[in-house]
Amino acid sequence: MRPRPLIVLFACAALAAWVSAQPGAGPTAAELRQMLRANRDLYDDLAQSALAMAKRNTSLDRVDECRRVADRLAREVRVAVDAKDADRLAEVTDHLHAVTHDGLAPNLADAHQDIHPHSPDSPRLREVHQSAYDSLTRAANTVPTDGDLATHKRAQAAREKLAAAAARIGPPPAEK
Amino acid sequence: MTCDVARNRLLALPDPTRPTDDLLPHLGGCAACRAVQAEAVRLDALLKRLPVPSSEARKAAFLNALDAAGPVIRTRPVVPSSLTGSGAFKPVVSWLKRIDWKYAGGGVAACLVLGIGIWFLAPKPKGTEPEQAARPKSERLARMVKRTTDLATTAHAPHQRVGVFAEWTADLKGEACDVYKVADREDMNALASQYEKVVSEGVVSQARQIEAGTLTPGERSRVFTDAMKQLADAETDASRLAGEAPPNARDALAKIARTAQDGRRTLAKLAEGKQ
Amino acid sequence: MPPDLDPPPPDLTGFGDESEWIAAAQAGDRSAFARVVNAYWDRLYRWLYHLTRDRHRAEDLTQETFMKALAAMKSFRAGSNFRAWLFRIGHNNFVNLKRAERKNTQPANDEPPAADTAAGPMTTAADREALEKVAKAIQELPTDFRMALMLKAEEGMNYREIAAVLKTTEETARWRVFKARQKLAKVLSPDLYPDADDEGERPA
Repeated sequence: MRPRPLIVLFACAALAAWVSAQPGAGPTAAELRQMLRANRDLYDDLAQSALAMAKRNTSLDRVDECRRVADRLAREVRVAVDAKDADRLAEVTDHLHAVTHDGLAPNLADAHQDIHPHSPDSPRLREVHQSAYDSLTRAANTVPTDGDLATHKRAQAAREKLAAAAARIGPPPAEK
Repeated sequence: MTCDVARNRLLALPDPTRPTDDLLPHLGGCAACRAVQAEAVRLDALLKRLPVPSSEARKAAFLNALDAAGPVIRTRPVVPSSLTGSGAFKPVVSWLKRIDWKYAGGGVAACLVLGIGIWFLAPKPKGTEPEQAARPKSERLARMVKRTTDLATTAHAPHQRVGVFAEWTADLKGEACDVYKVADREDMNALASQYEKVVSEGVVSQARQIEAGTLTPGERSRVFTDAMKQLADAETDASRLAGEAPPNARDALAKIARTAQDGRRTLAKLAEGKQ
Repeated sequence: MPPDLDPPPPDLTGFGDESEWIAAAQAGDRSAFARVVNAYWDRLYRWLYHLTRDRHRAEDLTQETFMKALAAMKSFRAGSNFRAWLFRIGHNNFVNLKRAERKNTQPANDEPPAADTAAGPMTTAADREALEKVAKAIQELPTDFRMALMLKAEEGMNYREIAAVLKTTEETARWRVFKARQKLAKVLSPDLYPDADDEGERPA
């Protein structure tokens, strides 16, 4: 047999082996079931929050609702830490970071702009802001700095991301 | 035209002093709506007269500073990029054309075989355990979180929220269709209940809040058509799968199909202004 | 909604040479730029005052906007909408200020509404009262509603221009103006809106 077709044949076989070793295009049915199990309650709570959010027409009310979503995800962080599940921790941390960055922070900014310190809404804004900040700080501190989970790169990254989320909103401004 | 529609149209006009032709017949016969128009005109006039502290001193200072800086504005020159346009790609294309791919193909294949062999046989560095590949994340969960933040930041109008919730229901239906063969009854029923909630309290509820006259007929039609299509697809898919599903998934899929059908019918009536 | 029947832009008689001033400023003529400043300062400042509710911040932002416009004059495309371009710079500066204030945890320093400098002796008592009501209600509008409404009411911008300034869609611009007017109309004439719903109700 001539050498050139043999080379091509070997190449195709090698390529086929390489392709089959790659991860599949999507999760398997078993993985989907596991995800559903893990997320079922969270789906429900997120749906509730989304429906509630759609009724909120002021920035303060939206801050409050974002705070509830953040609290819910912070709870998932604690569950993942207790289960020493670095993958789950990384996943829910990403979502908590997104809610803080894309939901909580902009609405807090608008609320602080719209509600002046002597407004009747000001105490509630301070309370919600403080509560959100405390929740994020607690979530960051939940991720251990020693032990099995602490050695995972994903867990370390999650801790940093949670701390960044808390810093993103900061504590409420000091009262004058 | 109802008074509600007329009022909303008046408030959305670019200029309330110039009502559109289709508003005129209603205004001609309705004193209450004429009063609303008069108030809208008055409001616009008041807005123009809102008191604002004078800024003359600061303006004068700025103009003086401009004057003192001399007659000519000296700005930094803008340096044009030398890699713009298709010219930069021409040398690469001509190089590619010069290659004789008959022989190059064999060479590439040989390198590949060699490379893979070396990779398999080469010793791994000691002392480092590579981290296991991460478990797949739920894309659906990610989309739900994104939609929640959209509702918090950008989707404030009812017609925008209809779209967000319609996509939400599509995700829930998709989840049910993906797992119906392996999920247990409790999980499937939970999905079906969530679906029902989001359709009724999300899609339909927000659709009811779309105020008459706030969207053009084309925009309004698009909002309703898109949402009804999502529900129609859900009805079709869920009905079909309910017929072949295992017993623990059948009821849930049937419920999703019914909910989608009811939701679609309600939207159709709302679109026609019949509810 | 019928096709957009926006009124023509406000009568800019006296500003008819604006395109010449802009061209001259782009060519380096500082006095031409000063004419542009003179034409737009008050309008831009008024808008920024309604957003910041603080005279000093509004003045700072106005000045900063003109400084940036001066630096970027060559990038302005002749023949396109200068007003929208300028107000867009102002909007960006306002957004940056808000961000900076958040980082430094300095909330806006609210001033009480300015003394009634706009109302002259011909202003009736009813109008004066209405002005006060509207001034207060404007302060309570969400910022993005206020931005859009004042661009419409004071500048007479059409929805396309408003969308360009606020970097949003025409549809959203129209909706924000509508909602802002609706809220203010209910404050000004509650008897005309007897079925006003209580928005933003907190959950039980």
